[in-house]
Amino acid sequence: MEDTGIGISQNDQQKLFHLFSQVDNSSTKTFSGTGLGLAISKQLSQLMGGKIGVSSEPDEGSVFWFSLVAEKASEEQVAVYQLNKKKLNKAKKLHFDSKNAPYILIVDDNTINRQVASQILKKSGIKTDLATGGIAAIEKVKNNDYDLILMDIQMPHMDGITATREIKKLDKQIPPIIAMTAYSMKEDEAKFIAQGLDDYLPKPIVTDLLLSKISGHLPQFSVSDNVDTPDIGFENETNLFKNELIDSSVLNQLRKYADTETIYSFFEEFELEAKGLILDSINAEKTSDIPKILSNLHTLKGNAGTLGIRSLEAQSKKIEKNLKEKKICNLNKDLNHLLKFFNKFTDRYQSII
Amino acid sequence: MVENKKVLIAEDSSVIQNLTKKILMMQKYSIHSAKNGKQVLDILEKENFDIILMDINMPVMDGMECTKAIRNMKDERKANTPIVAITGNAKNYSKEEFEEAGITEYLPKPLNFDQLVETVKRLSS
Repeated sequence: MEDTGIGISQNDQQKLFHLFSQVDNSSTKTFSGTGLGLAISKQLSQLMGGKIGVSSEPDEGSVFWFSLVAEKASEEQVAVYQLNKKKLNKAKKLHFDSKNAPYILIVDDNTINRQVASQILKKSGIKTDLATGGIAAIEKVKNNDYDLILMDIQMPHMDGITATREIKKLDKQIPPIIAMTAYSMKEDEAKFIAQGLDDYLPKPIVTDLLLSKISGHLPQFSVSDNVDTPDIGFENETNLFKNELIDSSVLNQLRKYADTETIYSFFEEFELEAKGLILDSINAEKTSDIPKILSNLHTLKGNAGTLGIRSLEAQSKKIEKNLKEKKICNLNKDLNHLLKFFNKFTDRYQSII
Repeated sequence: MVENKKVLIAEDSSVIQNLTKKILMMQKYSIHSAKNGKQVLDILEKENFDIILMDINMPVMDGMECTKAIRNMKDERKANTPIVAITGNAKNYSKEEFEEAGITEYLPKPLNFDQLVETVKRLSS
């Protein structure tokens, strides 16, 4: 982990990994925290047979590193990991109409947190304003009409709960205020709401949750799901499927018989089943279980075809054809391509439906 | 009225199973499901259906075998249930072979939803 922050002197670096130690331990310290994080990290890395360390220059920045001993992952484990990672990364794409977008104030003393929240909101078409603390937030709310406020709780000078109380005293219509905090205990949610906040979001901020909370509080703003047309990679590998991850004629036909949510569930179910079929085929390739691969890909081909996912349909068809002609020299590569197409699909389909 | 029409869907892929189920439910059919040919026969013992959608490639008992067994049932009402095969035709059955087994009509995979709705409506009325 590398940063370009305030840096740490040689002398202070030695205190870093001790319990309850912070570089600034005075009562008026500007930085919050208990001073436990690095001490715990040190113990964790040691338990895992590794080390932890830092190199830093005051005013230049710091590099924190740690090591651990682990077993080498198998190819299959890597494939599963990559699939799961893709799943984590993809966010439900809510998008507000730019002509009628909500205006949201983000209150957080941490620059990075402000930027992260602001980036997420901007990508969803929301207009944002920023305040670096409670006092600034009160001033901003006096002078502007926001549709919603995201409020960090732990801030120096004036915390989020006090700021919320003061804001709610203002003689004007006050929008919903959502607490954002790393105290991720279930009781905290009730506590914050009892203290005048309207809702609660745990940190770190998760895009899906943030956007769904916002749209939940702002039903008056229309949300669309047609985000900018996603560009599909792999153009150099094939230009057949350019811009049509899902055949639009199939989607249009589906829309005659099912609402968006139901269509969504079809693709989710496909994703789940296809994932199993593909991973199972990759496994079967190792033991040369060709009938298994044929049977899996036959199902995959039919299902992908039915849902208009042409890239997966075509690739399954291609492998099936080769196997029937006893051509197995490219099987491993072809299955990997199938997995790549599948990953592309899972990455993008939610924004298309 | 299609509201009382009962459809039995035999399909081992849950994707196609749910897809056809939801689409036909929107058209007000009453839907029952089976995962293989054996389950179809068990359900059919107890109830009558207006139409059966039959995947050919299923484990335990495939669609061809199951269709033949249905056509041999003693209860004439059950034995004459229209059967629509839904198939990617992995085993390359000919039209004659489908007919011989007793399949009323067949829908190829990839499935066309318009064709599905039209066929079910026509054969179950």
